[in-house]
Parts: sequence; C-alpha cells; structure tokens
Amino acid sequence: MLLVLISGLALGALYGMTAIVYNVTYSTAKVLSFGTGHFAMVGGIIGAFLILGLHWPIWAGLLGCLLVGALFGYATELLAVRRVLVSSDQHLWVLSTLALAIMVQEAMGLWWGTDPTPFPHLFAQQRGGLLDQKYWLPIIAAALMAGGLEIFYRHTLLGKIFVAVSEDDFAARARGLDTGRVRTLSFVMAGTLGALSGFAAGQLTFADFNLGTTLSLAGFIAAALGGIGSSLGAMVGGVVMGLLTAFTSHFFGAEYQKTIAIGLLALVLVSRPQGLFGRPLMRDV
Amino acid sequence: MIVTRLHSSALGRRSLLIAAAAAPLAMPAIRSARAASAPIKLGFVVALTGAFATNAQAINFGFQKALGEINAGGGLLGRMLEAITRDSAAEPTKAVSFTKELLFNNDVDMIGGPTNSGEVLPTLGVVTAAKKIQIISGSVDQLIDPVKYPYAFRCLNKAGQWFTVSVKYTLDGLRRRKVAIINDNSGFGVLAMQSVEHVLKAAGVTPVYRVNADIGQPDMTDEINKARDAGADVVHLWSNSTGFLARVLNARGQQNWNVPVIAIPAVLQEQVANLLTSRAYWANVYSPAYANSVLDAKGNLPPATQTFLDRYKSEVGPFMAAGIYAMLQGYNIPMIYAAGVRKAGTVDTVAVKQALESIPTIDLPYGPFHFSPTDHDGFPDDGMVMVAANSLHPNGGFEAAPAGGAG
Repeated sequence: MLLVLISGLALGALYGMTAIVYNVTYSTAKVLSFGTGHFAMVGGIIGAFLILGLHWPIWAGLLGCLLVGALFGYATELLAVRRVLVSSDQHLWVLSTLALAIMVQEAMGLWWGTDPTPFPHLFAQQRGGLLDQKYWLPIIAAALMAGGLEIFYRHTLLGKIFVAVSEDDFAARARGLDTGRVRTLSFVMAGTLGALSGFAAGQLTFADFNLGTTLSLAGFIAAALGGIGSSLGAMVGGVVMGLLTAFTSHFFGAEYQKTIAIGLLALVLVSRPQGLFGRPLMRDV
Repeated sequence: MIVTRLHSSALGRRSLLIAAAAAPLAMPAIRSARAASAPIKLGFVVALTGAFATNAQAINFGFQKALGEINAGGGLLGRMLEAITRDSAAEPTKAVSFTKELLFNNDVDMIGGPTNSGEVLPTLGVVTAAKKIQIISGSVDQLIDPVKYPYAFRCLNKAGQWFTVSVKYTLDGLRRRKVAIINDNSGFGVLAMQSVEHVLKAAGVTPVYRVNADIGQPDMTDEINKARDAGADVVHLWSNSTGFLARVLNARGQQNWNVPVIAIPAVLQEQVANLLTSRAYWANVYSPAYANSVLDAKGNLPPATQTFLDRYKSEVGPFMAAGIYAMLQGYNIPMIYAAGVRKAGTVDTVAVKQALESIPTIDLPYGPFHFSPTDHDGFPDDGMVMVAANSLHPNGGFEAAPAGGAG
C-alpha cells in the first residue's frame, strides 16, 4: 500500500509541476499554453541525449536541458502567443500553442525516434522499492519548485512585477512596466520549469516523444482542479490527481482509473467551478 | 509544279483520311503496348514515423530490398516494379487517405500495408471496392476474411498464432496454470486479453488476475503486486508499447519476483532491454518468435535468413534493433505479390488472387506461405517457436526457450 501511495505522490508531483507551469504563463499573459506538457517532454529527451548520448556530466546535462527548455518557452511566446494576443481577442492561442507543440513533438519524434528510451540514473542506488529515486526526484523537485516560486513571487522585485502584471495588466503598464517583456520572461520561466519537471521525472516516464500530450491534459486537469492561478492549488490538484489515479487503479482496477479520476474532477468543477483554491469570479454591476 | 503540288496535296489528304479512320482502331493496341512496357506500380502504406516507426522502418527496408531484387532479375512479365511509398505516421485516417490516393490517383496495381492493424482495418473496404490485391502487414486475426475482403492476403503470422503457441508453452512447457494477464488498454491489448482468455479457457484455465492498464501508466508495481497476491505463477504480457513492457518487467524485477513472463515478440527487441533498470530483469522472459530467427545447436541462423543478412550486411545494422523478422516481413510483400503475378502471367487482380490461392508453397526467408481460397493467412503454426528474450545473439538470432523455463 505504501508503494501505491509513493507512486501516486510521484505521479501527482509531476502533474502538479505541469499545473504550476500552466499558472506561470497564465498569471502574466492570461494564456494557457497547451504545449505546457511538451516542455517536460523536451526536458526529458534533451537530458537523456546530453547525459547518455553525449556523456555530459549530470549537472551539465541539467543545465543544457534547462537552457533548451527556456528557448522552447521563448519560442512559444514569440511564435504562438505574441502576435495572436495582438491581433485577436479570441482565445486563438489554444490553437497556436497546440500547433507549435505538435510541431515540436513531431520534430522530436523524427530526430529522437518514437520509441521511449532510457533516462539516466542521477544517483548511484542499489535498492529500489520505496526509496527508489524515480519516485523521490519528482516529489522533491515539485516541492522545490512550489517553494521557490512562492519566494520568487513574494520576496523578489521581479516576482512582485509578475504579481502586479497578473493582478492588473493595465495598471502595471500605466506604472511604466513593460508588460510584454514580463510576458516573454514568464514563458522563458515556464519553459525552464517544464524542462526541469521532465528531467526530474525522466526515470519514471522515460525519454518519450509522446509524453507531452498526456502531460498537457493531466496538468490542465490538475490546474483546473486546484484553481487556475493558484500555485498551492496547482500542487494540491496534481497530488489529488496522482493519488486518485493510483488508488482508483489499486481498488477498482486500472481499467477505471481515468474514468473515475476525470469523473470526480467533473463533479468538483460542477460544484466548485473556481477549483479547490481558486477565487470565484466577481463581476462589477 | 502546281500540278505536282496538287497531286501531292491530294495524296496527303487521302493519307490523312485513312490515318484518321485507322486511329481509333490502333489506339488500344498502342495503349496495350505502352501498358505492357510500363512499370507495375506497388503502392506501399507504411508508418515510417509515429508510433511503432522503428518496426515499420525495418519493414520498409525489407520491402525495398525485395523490390530491388525483383527488378535486378528483370522485373515481372518483362516489366519493372515501381514502388510508391506513403508514410501514414501510424494514423488510420492518413492510411485511408493515402490508400485512396495510391489507388485512384496513382493507379497502382496492388497495395502493400498498412503496417499496423489499426490502420489496416479501415483500408480493407477501400481496396476491396477498388478490386486490387492488398498484402497487409497487420496481425489482428479479424483483418483477414476471404469472403469480405477477397483480395487481401497477410504477409506475417496472425496474432492468434502468438497466443496459441504461448499458451501451449505456458501449460505444457513451463507447466504453469495460474496465469495473470497484464495488457495495456489499446485496441490490441483489449483484443489480446479476449484471445488469450479464450485459448486458456479452451484448455480449462481461468486467469487468476487480469488487467488492461493504461498504456501510459508510469509505474506498474501495483499491478505486479496484485498479480502476485492473486497467486499467479506465470504472467502473460501483451502490449505493442516497448515502454509498457519495460515498466512491467522493471516492476517485477524490483519486487524480486522471478515469475516467468510470456510476452509479445516486441519484448525481444533491444529497445526493451535498454529501458530495463537492470539487464537481469530480461531473464525468464519468453516470447513466440519465428523459426527464421532461431539458432541451431551451433549458434547458426537458418540458411535463408543468413543469406539475406549477408547480402545486405552493410545496410542492416540500423534495422537489427527491430528484429530480423521485421525486415523479412517487409521482404515478403513484393515477393508474395511477385509469386502470384508470375503464376497468373498477368497483373489482373482476380487472376493474381486465384494464382496465390493455388500456389502450393511460397518459400521465403520469413517462412513458407500457403494460401487457399478459404485461407489468406498462409503462415503455418510451426513457423513459430518460443524463445528466451535474453538469448539474443550478436547475429540477431535467439535460442529456443527451454522446455521447463529458467526455473
């Protein structure tokens, strides 16, 4: 039973990290990039390529992976978001971010191959079971990511600028803030964090070009469950999703895990549309 | 001068009139002569990208080599073969579109592929309606039906043969009867569950545990523990996903449960071994494979397989990971079609169909094929042999599985 718990927590941590990455871009641009899970996919594959393929040391592999993630985030903002936001009030970024993500996914499939490939062990470890690093690495990374973002938003100038843009874009601009640059920076940050999540969970997911779509969906559900815009909610939503998936599979059978997990999500959203930690939408009258 | 010119002019008009009158009569003969020298077109729908691309690329390699060999030998009926290849990216909708394009725009003489069962199914009706020979490369049993799809033939074993041979080895070779089945939730995984249960039931065995787990489930420890708690003494594992196979084997190894595993031939691929936390987890894993890849007592491959590998030894390297049989499977497609055309003496679909149904045996490196009016599967059960997954030799061959397993 403990293994079910730890496995569910690890999976939940990965979902939670993806949900947090959704929030990073949503906060500044009000855009939910549907290529969010693809940041993790790219992180896993680049990490495996640099460490196993080019034999870089792990720290260099991690840095390289974060750099590529940052570039991917920047490209997403530049190619799929910036012009769409300028030229349309409609939510066309749903299509543009998804299209770019699919292009990247197909490119990775052509370059890396379509079969999952191994991800390196980051630490020498003889024993598996409950202490297996494939479970603990995503959990630790998720905790660090959530904590680090809280510190960033509350205690750094740049973080406070992010919050200001998030709360009132117009007022921030009136105060002279370059909100476009903040938005770009948020996508760079999202790409970096997404790549980090893929790197941390690489042993759990393998380096797999197909991972992005699954994660984009699961992360979005976690974000919606926790309340879009809330980091705490994203993490709780992810963990709830992960545990629900693991325990549903354990008690009712793996055939029903998605049906029950998503069914429960639908129930939560019907009864509490703003999610567990989101604020209800207030409208001036 | 003028008279002469008038004279020649009169002659020209007469010639022109005669030529105009004769032209409609001559056109079929011209067309026929052109057709007789035009290449025979083979449309090939193959998932070179997308899921299962590694396998499909090896199949494509074999296909192109067979085509080259036939052309080097003078072609068929004095005509060269021309392949028109389309990458379906493992998407059924693309497979159907490309099949239609090949049939109706490129006017191909036959269709090879698609190379995944899920893609084959929606193309069968289209090719049947167009009345063309189709040599499919999908293993699901239901794809071949000589009544519904009279021009479709299979170039590999059918999945049912995997299950029959595997269950026989489970019960008679390993002497195990407490079977757990862990499949993924893809169409193949669900169908395989029904088929294995059906074969087991015929032998009076009911699985002690069965599950169609999510194909992307990152950790299979819970499923392995539940199978063990249910008292299983053997695990059947049917999934086309190398990631899924590796996760189950990793979970089994990490739980120190050395239960024998009977799995789909994909488990023999090096990609699966690369995904294992320890290569030791590949032990005590068995799979139905092909006599064409089984080593004799001296470690030699069957002569026909070795000849194929020797002929292309500078090129086969990148495709060995998918297994020799994948290359040979692709090699079958033009070769089976060529056998039918040679016997029929024409590319006419009905004649080729009847020829294929009447050839006693088509001997190929993959194995012998024998089609009949009621059987378009063709590959015999004894062409399949159980092998141990970790017995892969550098030459690409496997050792036959020991009668009692690894213990």
